[in-house]
Amino acid sequence: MSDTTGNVIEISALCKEFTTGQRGRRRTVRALDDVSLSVADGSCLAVVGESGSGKTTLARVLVGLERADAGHVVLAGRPVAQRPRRAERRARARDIQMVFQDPNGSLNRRRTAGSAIGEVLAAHHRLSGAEARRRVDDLLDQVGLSPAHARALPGELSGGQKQRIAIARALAAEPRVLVLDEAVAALDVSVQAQVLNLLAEIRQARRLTYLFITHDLSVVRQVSEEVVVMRQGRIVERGSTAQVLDDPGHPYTRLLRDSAPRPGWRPRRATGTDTAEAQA
Amino acid sequence: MNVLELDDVRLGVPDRGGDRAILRGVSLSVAPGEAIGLVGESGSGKSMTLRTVLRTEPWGARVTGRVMLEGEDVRRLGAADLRRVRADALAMISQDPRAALNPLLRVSGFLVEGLCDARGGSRQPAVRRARDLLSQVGIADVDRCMDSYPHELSGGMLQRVVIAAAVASSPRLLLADEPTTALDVSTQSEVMAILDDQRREHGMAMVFVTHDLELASAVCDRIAVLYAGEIVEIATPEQLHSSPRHPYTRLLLDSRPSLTTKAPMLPVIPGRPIAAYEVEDRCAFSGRCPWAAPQCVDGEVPLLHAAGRAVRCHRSDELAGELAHPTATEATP
Repeated sequence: MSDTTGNVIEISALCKEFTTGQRGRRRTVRALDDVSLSVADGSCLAVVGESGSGKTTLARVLVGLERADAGHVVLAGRPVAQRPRRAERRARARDIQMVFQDPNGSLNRRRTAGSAIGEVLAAHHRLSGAEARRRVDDLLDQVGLSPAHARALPGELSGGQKQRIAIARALAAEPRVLVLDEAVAALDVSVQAQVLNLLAEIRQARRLTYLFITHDLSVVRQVSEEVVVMRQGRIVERGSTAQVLDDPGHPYTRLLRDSAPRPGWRPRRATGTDTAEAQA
Repeated sequence: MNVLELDDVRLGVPDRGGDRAILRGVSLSVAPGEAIGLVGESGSGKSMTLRTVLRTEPWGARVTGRVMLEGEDVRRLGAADLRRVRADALAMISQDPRAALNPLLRVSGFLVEGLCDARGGSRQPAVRRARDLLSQVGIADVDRCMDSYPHELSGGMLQRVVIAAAVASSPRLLLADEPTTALDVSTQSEVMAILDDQRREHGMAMVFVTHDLELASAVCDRIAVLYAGEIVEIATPEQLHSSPRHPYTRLLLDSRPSLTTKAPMLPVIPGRPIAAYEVEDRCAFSGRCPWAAPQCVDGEVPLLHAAGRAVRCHRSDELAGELAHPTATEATP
C-alpha cells in the first residue's frame, strides 16, 4: 500500500452534475466542477463552504456513495473504480470511513452500541467472539466511553455519546482516512469541544488522515493544517489554514470570515447578495 | 412598565408517577425596546421559556408562575384575549421559516392574509404595505418574491419574508427562536442585521434564543445564560466576556474554538449538560464544576441580583478574579 507521492488522497478534475426539477423546469446543478486536491498522509484537510457548495458531494464521491461524471480518485495509491465490485468496495471501506452529522442515521435504534461496532468488526476482520468483545471495549475506550456503554441502545445515549459511537464504528474498520461531514455541527458547544479534542488525539495516536467538512471557520482553525474553500462546486481558494484564515485571498473567503460571529462582531447587510440568492 | 415579566415560571410535563421538570423557576424582565438573549445548550429550557409566553407549551404541561405581558398575565387569558395578544402584541420567528408559511400560498397571499384578514383591513393598502415590508427586509426583486411559493425561495429569503410578516403588526415584543441556525453564515449575518434594523426601527423588544453566545452578544443588550431549566447568570455582553461570574459561563466561553488562534487542546467542561429533571437539591452545575465546594451540593442556589447583573453561584464573589478575562490558555484548577 505504498504510494510514491506521500498523498493518501489524490483527486483530479472531478465533475458531477445533478438534474433537478420536473419537465419544463429542468435545471442542471454542477455540484463538482473540475475539483482537484490532494491530502498528505497523516494530515487534516478542511473543506469549507456553504450549503450547495459541493462539499458533501465531494465526500460522497470519495467514499463511493456517489459516482463522478468525470475525473479520478486515487486512494492510498489505488485508483478507485467507478463501478466497484463487492470485494473492491470492502477494500475501500478499509481505506476510508465516514462520520456524518447526525449519528442517528448511522445507528440502528434497536441495536446496542456494542453490536453496531461489532457489525463493522465482523465485516472486516476474522475475530473470535471474545476477541471481538475485547476490540469493542478498546474502541469504546478510545472514544472516551466505558465498556458498560456497549450494552446501551442509542436512545439511552446523549448526542455526544452517540457521535462517539459513530466514530468508534468508523475506526473499527481500521481505515487510513476518516471523512468527517459536519461531524461536530449538531453538538452542543461543551460537547463539541470534547469531541474535537478526541478527534485530534485519535488522529495522532493512529496516524490517520482526515478530510474534515465544515462550515465553521473556528473549527477549521482548530482541527486542520490545510483548507480548501468551495463555492458553487469549485475550489475558490486553498492553502495552509493559518494563511487562508489570516489573509484570505478570495473575496468569498473574506465574506465567510467576516460573517463569523466573534467578540466585537456586528452583523452586516451585504449589498447585492440577495439578488444572487434569489436566483439560487 | 416592562413589556415582559416572567416571575418564577416553572414547567413540568407529566411522567410516570409525577412531573418531569423542564423549567425550574425562570424569572426575567424585558424593558420596552430591549433585546435580551437566552443562551444555553440543548435541553436548558430556552425555547420552552418562549413557549410559555406564547402559550404553546406541550400538551398536558403544567405551568406555574406568572408571565406578565404589558401588565396582563398571559397564563390567565381566555381564548379571545389570547388571540388578540398573539395578533397584536407578540410576534414569533422560529428556526425553520418553512414551518411558518403555508406551502400552498404565494408570499403575497401569506403577507396579505396577515395584514388584512387578521386585522380586517382592505386589500389594496395591504398589498402596498406587503411590498413595502419586503423591500425593507432587503429583498431586491419584490415582484418576483411576492409571486413565489415557499418552495421556490431559499431559506434566507424565506426567513426575511417571515421577519417582514413579524414586524408588519408592529408588535411590542418579538420572540426569536434560533432564527438563523438553519442558514449559511453569510446569510445569517445578513438576516441578523435586517432583524436588528427592523427591531430598532419599530422600537420592539426582543427575546432572542440561541446557543451561540457570540451571536447573542452582537445583537442583545443583556444576556441570560440558562442551564438545566434555570437562569444561572444575567449580564451585558461586555460583562459576560470580560468578567463572567458563573463558572458555567466562563467554561462555555472557553470551550468554543477561536477564529483567530488554535489551542493545543480545547478547555473542556467534563461530563454532559444535564436535563432539568435530573437536578437534585443542589447547584445544577456542581457535578461538572471544577470550583465546586461542599456548600454547592447543600441545597439549591438562589439567583442573586447585584449592580444590574445576576448570578446563581455561592462562590461568585470569591471566584470573581479567577473567572475574569477568559482566555483559552488559562488553566483551570
